Amino acid sequence: MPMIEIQHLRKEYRDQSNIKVAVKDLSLELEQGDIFGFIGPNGAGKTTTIKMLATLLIPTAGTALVNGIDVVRYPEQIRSIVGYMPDFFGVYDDIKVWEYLDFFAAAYRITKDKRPQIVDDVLALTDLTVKKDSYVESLSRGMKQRLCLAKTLVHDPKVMLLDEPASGLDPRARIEIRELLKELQAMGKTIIVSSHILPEMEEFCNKIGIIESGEMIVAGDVNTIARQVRGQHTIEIRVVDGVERAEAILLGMTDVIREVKVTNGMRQLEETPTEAARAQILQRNTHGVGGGVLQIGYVGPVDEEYRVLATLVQAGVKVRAFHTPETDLEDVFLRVTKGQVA
Amino acid sequence: MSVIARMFPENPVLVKEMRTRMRGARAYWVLLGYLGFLTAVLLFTYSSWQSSVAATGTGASDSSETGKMLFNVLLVCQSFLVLFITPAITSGSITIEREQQTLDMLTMTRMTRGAMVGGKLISAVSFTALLLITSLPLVSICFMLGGVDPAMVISTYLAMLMGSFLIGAIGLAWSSVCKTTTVAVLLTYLTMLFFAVLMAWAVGTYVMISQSPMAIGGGGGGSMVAFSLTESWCGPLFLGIHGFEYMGFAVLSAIAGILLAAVAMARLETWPDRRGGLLRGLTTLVVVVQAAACYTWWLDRIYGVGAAGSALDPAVAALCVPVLMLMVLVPVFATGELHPIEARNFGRYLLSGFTPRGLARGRLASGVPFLLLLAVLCIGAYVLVFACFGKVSDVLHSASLPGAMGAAAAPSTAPAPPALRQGGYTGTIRSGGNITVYRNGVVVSINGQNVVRAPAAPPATPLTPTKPASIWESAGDFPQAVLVVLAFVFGFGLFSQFLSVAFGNRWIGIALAYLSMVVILFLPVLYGIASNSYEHSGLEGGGFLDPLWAIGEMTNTKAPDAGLPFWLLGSVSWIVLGSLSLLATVPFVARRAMKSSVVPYEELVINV
Repeated sequence: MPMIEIQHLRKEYRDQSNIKVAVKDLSLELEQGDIFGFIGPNGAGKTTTIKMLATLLIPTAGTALVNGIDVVRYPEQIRSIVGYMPDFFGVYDDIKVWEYLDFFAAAYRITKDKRPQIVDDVLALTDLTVKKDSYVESLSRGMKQRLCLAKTLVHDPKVMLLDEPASGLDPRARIEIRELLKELQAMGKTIIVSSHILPEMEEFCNKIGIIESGEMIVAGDVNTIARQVRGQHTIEIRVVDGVERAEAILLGMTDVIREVKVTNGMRQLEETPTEAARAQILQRNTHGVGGGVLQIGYVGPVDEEYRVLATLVQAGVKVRAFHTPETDLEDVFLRVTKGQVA
Repeated sequence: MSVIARMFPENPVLVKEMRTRMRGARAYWVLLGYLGFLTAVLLFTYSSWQSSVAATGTGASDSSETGKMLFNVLLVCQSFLVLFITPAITSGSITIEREQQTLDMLTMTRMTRGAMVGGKLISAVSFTALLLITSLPLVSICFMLGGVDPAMVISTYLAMLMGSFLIGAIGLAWSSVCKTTTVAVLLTYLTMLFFAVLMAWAVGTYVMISQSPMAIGGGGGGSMVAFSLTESWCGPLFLGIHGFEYMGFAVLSAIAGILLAAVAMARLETWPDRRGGLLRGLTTLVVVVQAAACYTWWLDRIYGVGAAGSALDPAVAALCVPVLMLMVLVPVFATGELHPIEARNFGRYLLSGFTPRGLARGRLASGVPFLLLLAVLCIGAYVLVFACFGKVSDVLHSASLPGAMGAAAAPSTAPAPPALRQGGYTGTIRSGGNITVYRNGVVVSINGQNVVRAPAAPPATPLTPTKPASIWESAGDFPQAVLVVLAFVFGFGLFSQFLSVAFGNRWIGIALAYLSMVVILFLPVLYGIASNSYEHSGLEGGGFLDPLWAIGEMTNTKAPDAGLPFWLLGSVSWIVLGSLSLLATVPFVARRAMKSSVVPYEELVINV
């Protein structure tokens, strides 16, 4: 059973007399332990979707199940397994850090004897132990963000909904949040993180979804998406020697390779590279000059990738590394979205 | 300890509010200001008394009077302070969370909405309790002078505490509805003003009635309302139980406060409609208890042992009490929003309001059915109270059952002769601890001790009201009063429903319904002023539309205006008006059904 199952979710707002659609027909499935990066420009419907999952907004149509429980019919049950961190939040005045956490722990019906331990644990996890007796309003923005994350953790939720957890933070605080999320990932929690900043998502998300104008444009495994979007995926080949030769060989494999990029300069293939062009390269230097890095746009089946390597090795190219680099999400994002805002 | 802890699970909101309330200097400044103000008032009053003693030479003999006077001054000042401080705390309690953006996180917890609202209300009221307790030493000066006993202090302090609970709950209810604190505070004070005006209207009616039988509210209904309301709140007799002063006020404030807290609670729920049953149950409790308190107080005057006061109106006028409350409630309950999906099958939807499930859901369809049920319960309580006095057979001619004084003055023929009404002020004035009984403008007794020797009481005659010639007399009686009440609720309810559907907005519907009610109440008066005579304002000025007037007319001994009796005229008008409103609703419903829907999920799940 998937941990999160959203089907045809729709949310309409009545704005005076006209109806605005914030989210239209959104479907998504996530397994336990998935870290889902919810990417989209501001106003695309990320916050609306997260709020609907958090039982704070009622969807107009469609269903959303968390751990098999309908969020609309049983909001009370959902609240005990979901932790929600809003994009904008305030803190109470005149309250200390430990009191703040104790308050939320009590609100989650954690018994009095267990609370001090839990408060200490989440403080340690979020690295706020030294601030235990400080007043909440005296914390820095990054600390408040971590405190809010700590508050989200007091009832040990299975699912965490984090709306822009790193927005408005300086680089250091941003990295701290990122490290914290990695720790949560290790704890086996299913996390949905929304952001409009891409690089911070790449590092720890195993699935992403791109939303624009209330519609999920693509969703799924990071690499699969990159492939879907470009119709190819990148393989990076480092060679110790014979870079030009390797290039010539790769250019010849037109059935599976669409693009070949060499560190200095790039040669893009036309639909069918001319035989003359190939011969020219091969003639120039049959034994290649030194090492280099080649990036190829591979369009063939994934389990046939080894053939490329085998061909290169057989031709005497000294291959040092052959791997798929981390996808460049920004590239994906730009290709997919049209720059419209809902 | 653990047993107690389990019985009273701790309330996180209450703990948090208690922890933070007294932090910082603010709370102490409030305390200082509060006590400083009271002390200044007390010192000023005391020194002015002392200088007058020095000037006139009168001494300790009237010190008990002064003690009472000082106590009353303290009481009035404290009431004002407490009534303004509590709503200032509660009316922001939810809107501030909205403004600070902390409400979503609180909503996401497993805390029940009841615990959230209860915690906020109790923490606010406990601050008021602190203020009251700290002022107790000031009362000691009244003890020193005499005239004040501990029971009085306890009962007035309890009344003030419960009053602050009620007003705090009003603030909380507005806070749960409004988006910003400013609006919530404003509406809270406006609500207080509204009730102040309503009370002033009741009292004003009472005074006017003693001069003219044709003032606002018609015959005697208005004075009955004012009289029995104030007595059931402030008197020691409540629901037939002899307790302490202000007991009725304390009990009713407590129930009404819980009702308003439940309103706030429902507003915070994901599905407020699911709490419809709770809200309606509590509303019924408040209305029926208040009505029964007035009935019992009135019948105690008629049948009871302590029938020592005076009474203006025959018993049937007691039905004006529930009518007054229904007037306030109809616009609230009969209005609502109509979803396109409900509009598409409007006839069946309206009928579904009559089912128990429909009544518990709090949608538009069940508004009028609920109000009719409430009216029936209030009338049932009337009969039940008669049954409790063992006089159930008197119900049918309760229009000829006057209060004790009327019966004593006119033992042979009921109803009371007009002479009794046309005289001066007749009734009981309660100020502080003094109870002054007036009869025809003359002070009869103060605190139960006769001032003017009353004319020798006529021999006690058993109360046997003469049987009217027919139940369907033109002036009317209990059955006619029932018809008037039900027809009014039916007609005005459907009219309010029409307003809210026609404008597609509940708040506009409520506002217009109240506005039209004000028109109904004041049109006859304006007509009377314009024509320089109140003689015909009941008939020509539309006074029969006012159910208070129509019932009041039944208690009027004068020959009614020529033509149809008011009860018939009023009932028929309201039934016709209600049916027309229902018909007029149909085209708006059809238009609503055409609209593409922002249909809440729940409606889809349940209705399709």
